[in-house]
Amino acid sequence: MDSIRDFVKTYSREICISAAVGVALVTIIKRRKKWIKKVYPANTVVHHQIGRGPHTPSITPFALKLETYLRMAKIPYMNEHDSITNKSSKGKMTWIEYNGEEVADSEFCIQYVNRKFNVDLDKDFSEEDQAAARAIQRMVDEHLYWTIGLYWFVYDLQHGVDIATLLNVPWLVVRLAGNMIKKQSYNQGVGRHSEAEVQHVMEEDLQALSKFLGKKKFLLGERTCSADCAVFGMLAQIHWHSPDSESVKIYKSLLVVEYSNLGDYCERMKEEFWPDWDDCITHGWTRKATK
Amino acid sequence: MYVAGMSSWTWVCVMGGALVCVGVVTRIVCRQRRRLPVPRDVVLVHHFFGRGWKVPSKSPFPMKLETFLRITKTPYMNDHSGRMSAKGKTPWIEYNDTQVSDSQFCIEFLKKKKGIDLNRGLSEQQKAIARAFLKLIEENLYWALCIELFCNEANIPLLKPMSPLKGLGFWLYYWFVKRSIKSATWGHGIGRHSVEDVWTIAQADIQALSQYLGQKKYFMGEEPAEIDCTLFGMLSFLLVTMQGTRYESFTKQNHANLVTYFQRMKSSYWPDWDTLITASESFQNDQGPTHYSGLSFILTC
Repeated sequence: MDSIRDFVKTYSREICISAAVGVALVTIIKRRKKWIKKVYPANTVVHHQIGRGPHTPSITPFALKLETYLRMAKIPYMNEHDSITNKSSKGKMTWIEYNGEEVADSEFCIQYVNRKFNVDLDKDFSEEDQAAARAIQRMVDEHLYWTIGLYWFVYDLQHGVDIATLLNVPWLVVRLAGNMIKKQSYNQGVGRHSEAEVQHVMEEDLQALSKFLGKKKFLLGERTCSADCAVFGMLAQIHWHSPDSESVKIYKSLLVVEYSNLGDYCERMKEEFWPDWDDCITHGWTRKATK
Repeated sequence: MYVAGMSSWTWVCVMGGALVCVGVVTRIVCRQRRRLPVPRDVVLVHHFFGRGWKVPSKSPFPMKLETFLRITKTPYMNDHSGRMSAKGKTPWIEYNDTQVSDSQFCIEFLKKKKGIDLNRGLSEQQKAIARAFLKLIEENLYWALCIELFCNEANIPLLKPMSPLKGLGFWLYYWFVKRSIKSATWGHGIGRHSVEDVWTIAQADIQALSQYLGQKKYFMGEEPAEIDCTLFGMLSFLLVTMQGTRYESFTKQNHANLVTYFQRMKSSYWPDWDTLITASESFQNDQGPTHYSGLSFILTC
């Protein structure tokens, strides 16, 4: 303790200068992206996301949801895989730019795109069906998401699953993400349950999705609605990703029992809106995605 | 500075530690003293906030749980002493020495123990829709309501009369609750939006609830289901606790069927509402007595 105090006393000027230079550098680097703004084509939605995933076009369900929607609504768009270092103003990693305007959050992006391009994929459904579809989207985005997040970043680590290799990130990043998910899910509420209870509520959500879908081609029938993007974005994470994850084992065991319609639904959505799927994934990080 | 052989910092630590010990012991003793004697097969519902100013509970979750007990005519009694469950969640219940926390887990526990199922008349698809709306209400709309009430400064005049503390105490309470809501909703995600963006999200949720309810007597049809307990609890929060906010006036003006539904549920299952709100002259503290089916008479245990 005394040696630290003496060091600080002796080199106080150097320490202050270093700290000031460090703060200035960080500020310049952060603001640099605003000064050197990339020019994008006009009238094209720029979809900022974190990059392609190993077995799905994105390991974040919200980016996959949004990109599926852009394809479903036939909106001209391009991808910019930079949002790990270039987050939105709200700190979210899925956001869009359109003619200089920035919008964050997948749901707000969808509403924005609907307004700008005069699109409404849900207009021909009854009010009751639209309401039910909105409830399904909320269940998936605000509840099922947390159960999967807890499995990937908290419980799987405890069970010795190699999530770092699955996500192709350093072990330390997975640990930090796990602490963040633990804290956020505790605040949200789901994180206060035990693992067995989280499994129970996850199974109930998957059961609800299966029963709601039934024998229909898509959530509301023969045609897709905007909520299909949310459901597909979320289910894709456990339909195609690592079989070692406990969440995936639970999902796959439910598919065998009586919820096989969810698996068929995922394959159907992939075939309909992602014919170039193989070009949009890294095949287990073995090659670069070409799209 | 040294006093009685100890430095001032040591004294500060010793006094601080002593105060913490006194506080913990007092809390344990008070909890033991406040433990209610509960008859067998009677559910003891633990409320953290106690009865509310204009609504039997300020939080929608105890309202949901108590409404379920009333609809199913399950004998229960209330404990308003403020004990929290081991999970730090409230409300929670005790039933024949078993503790369960989280309102939804409490309901599932009671369904198994008592063999009751309000959803038995629903088809599989209807049950799925009900679950989806449960999550819309509890995982999304609830947070939007909290953000509006505690993070929109325009509503401070509405909070003051219902706050347990006045003057400087109110401002400390407001700061603490606002900080907790901001922290919780930031982690959730909805708190990263502005108050106005959250307003847009809430309008969509309220509209969805109104559209699905339509002109039905209950949310799923002619008979009450579990989702009615949740919806009623949240509407108590929205229409009564948040009375005077733009959320309440938006619902009244644009989705009046939700207001009519709320009144219908209130008169059916809470005929004693006025005896359970502290703003009423006929308020009776119901800590202890056993409620049977929410009827106007109360049996003492």
